[in-house]
Amino acid sequence: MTRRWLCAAGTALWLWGCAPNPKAPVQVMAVTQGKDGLYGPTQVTLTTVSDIIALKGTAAQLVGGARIVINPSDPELQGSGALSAPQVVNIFLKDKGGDVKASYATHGDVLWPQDFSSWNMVSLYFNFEQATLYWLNEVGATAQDVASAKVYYDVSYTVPGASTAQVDDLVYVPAVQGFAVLPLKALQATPLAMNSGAVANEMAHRLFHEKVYGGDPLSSALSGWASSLAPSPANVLQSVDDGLADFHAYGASCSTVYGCNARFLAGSVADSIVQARDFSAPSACMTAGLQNVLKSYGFNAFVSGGYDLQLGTLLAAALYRTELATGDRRTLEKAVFAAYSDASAASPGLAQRIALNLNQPNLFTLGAVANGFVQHLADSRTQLELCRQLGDRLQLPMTDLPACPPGATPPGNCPSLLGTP
Amino acid sequence: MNRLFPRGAARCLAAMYLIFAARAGAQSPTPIPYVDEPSRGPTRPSSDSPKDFEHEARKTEFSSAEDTAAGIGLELLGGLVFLEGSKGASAETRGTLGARFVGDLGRLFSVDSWLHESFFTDVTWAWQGGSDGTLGVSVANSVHEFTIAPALELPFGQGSAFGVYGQLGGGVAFESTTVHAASRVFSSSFQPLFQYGVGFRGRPLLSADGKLRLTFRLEVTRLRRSYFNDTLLLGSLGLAL
Repeated sequence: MTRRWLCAAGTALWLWGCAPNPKAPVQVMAVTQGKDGLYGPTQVTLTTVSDIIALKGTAAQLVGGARIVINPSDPELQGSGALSAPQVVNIFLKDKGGDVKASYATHGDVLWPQDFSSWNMVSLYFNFEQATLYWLNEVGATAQDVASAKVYYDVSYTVPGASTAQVDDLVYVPAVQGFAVLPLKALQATPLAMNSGAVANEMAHRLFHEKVYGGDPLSSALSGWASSLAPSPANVLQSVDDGLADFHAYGASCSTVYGCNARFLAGSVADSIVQARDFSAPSACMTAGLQNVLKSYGFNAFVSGGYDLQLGTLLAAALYRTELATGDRRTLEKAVFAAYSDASAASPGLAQRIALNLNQPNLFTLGAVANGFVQHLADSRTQLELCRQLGDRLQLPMTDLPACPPGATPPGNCPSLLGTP
Repeated sequence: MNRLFPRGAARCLAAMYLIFAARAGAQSPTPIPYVDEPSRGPTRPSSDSPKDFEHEARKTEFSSAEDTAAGIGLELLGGLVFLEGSKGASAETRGTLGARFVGDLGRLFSVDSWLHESFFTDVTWAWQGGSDGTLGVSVANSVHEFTIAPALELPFGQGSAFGVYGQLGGGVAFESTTVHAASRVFSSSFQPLFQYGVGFRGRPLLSADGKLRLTFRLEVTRLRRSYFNDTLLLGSLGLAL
């Protein structure tokens, strides 16, 4: 009788098919960057995944088939009452999507993705896991800071002013408090989802948004400053976000097989973009032109001209040069992260500095923000070196950096603009 | 995976095919004589009773007229397969090609049985393949599906060559994947298949002796491939003897 039941159960299982459901750690194949810098299939271990088919775990929760429409004029936003963050997210998230369903074959203890999307999604999850470990173990973020976010895979993402949905990108979208992996269309290089640097970069944007804007889907401080002022302190805010994201992506790359990589986007985007954002380049220096733009442009013109990325690259260059000189990357990473949000009156964090200056935006300057990073460094040697590099790469006068120790003089690797009126 | 294969069910189907083949083989070289023809074989009724003889003769005549066909057919098939998408969105659409052997197993039953003309079994191979990704990283994927699926047909009228049918079966899929990146890797696997579907079938006669038929079908088939559900819209064309 038992045998008959076993036979019936076995036949039913055969007919129905069984989905693999291993417990973490899970051995799986993914596309990663090798020692030679090239991307290829590699066996990796996922330590945080709880559902290997739906690719959900403490590092990320993948969602398929969603649709995001960013429209500030959305009628649902125009209601009289204040909207909670989840309500705002629901307005922008026109289709919530559903679980993804990765396809695997099992070879021994290792799962092999069976189609392109499955390879891409598994690689993406692995990269989120690595980025999460970086923030937890190196930067000192808490588990709550990096709590699993939704990753909208192959999402339809429409932004204001665009007639068609965006493609070929990977972005953190504060409006839905999640990541958007956009469909591949023209991109023919390594998909961004497989690029650990690109994922770490977006993860850094998320942490910045969570800490500095308090996770506000509308980023009210930024959008308030952005809409009305020229020059706008939002220019500085956006540039700092971009620069710190690049620096943290670099930091996260140091744990990879390939090693520390300032050109982490190489292989996934055009060389010209990699070149422009290469903060390790000796030529990454402030120019008179960028100074003028920063002092005169409104936010939209600043961002659409790509100046936020230019200025951000210079901030990342200052941090990178400081690390090279001191050999202590982690101290710098921790201090920078601590400066995101700090309620102390003596050394307010970025979030608090925004709140303090909402009505006097002229006080929210690049120098004031940079000074905040210096304030959060306890190590005097690193503090001194950061001051020198900020003075050099960003051409900030020491008078803008009152937290710097006396004797901090720029090394003079960049052309001096300090005499320029 | 192989241990889950229902060997009992497979043995049963194999036995049915052997019986069917034996029956078809016995009919083919020695046709059953008509009543007004001289006997050419051992199938002449042995009863001496005129009443029994007449009954057997009538039955033999009818049976002979229906069963001149061997009850086998071969069809080429093609169509669209909507693979359940791994990225959770709409299905991935691919073309599919294949072939199937059709065995009219209903002929194992008496001509008086409704199963005689309505029960058949498909042995099908279908293939679909595709490639996705970028020039930097791409994945080529190919699936060969092998199924055995008994079917029951409901003819549009008595003796009609057209009807609708439903079927249920199973089999195995062989899936291979090749990743092209800085290095190239290949993997393959076997997966269980569960098949069910409905369709329309036509089998008009092509020859006066009732042996050769044109066969065609339009069908909707669902395949449960491991833990994926695929839908196939298929058409097929072939010949039956």
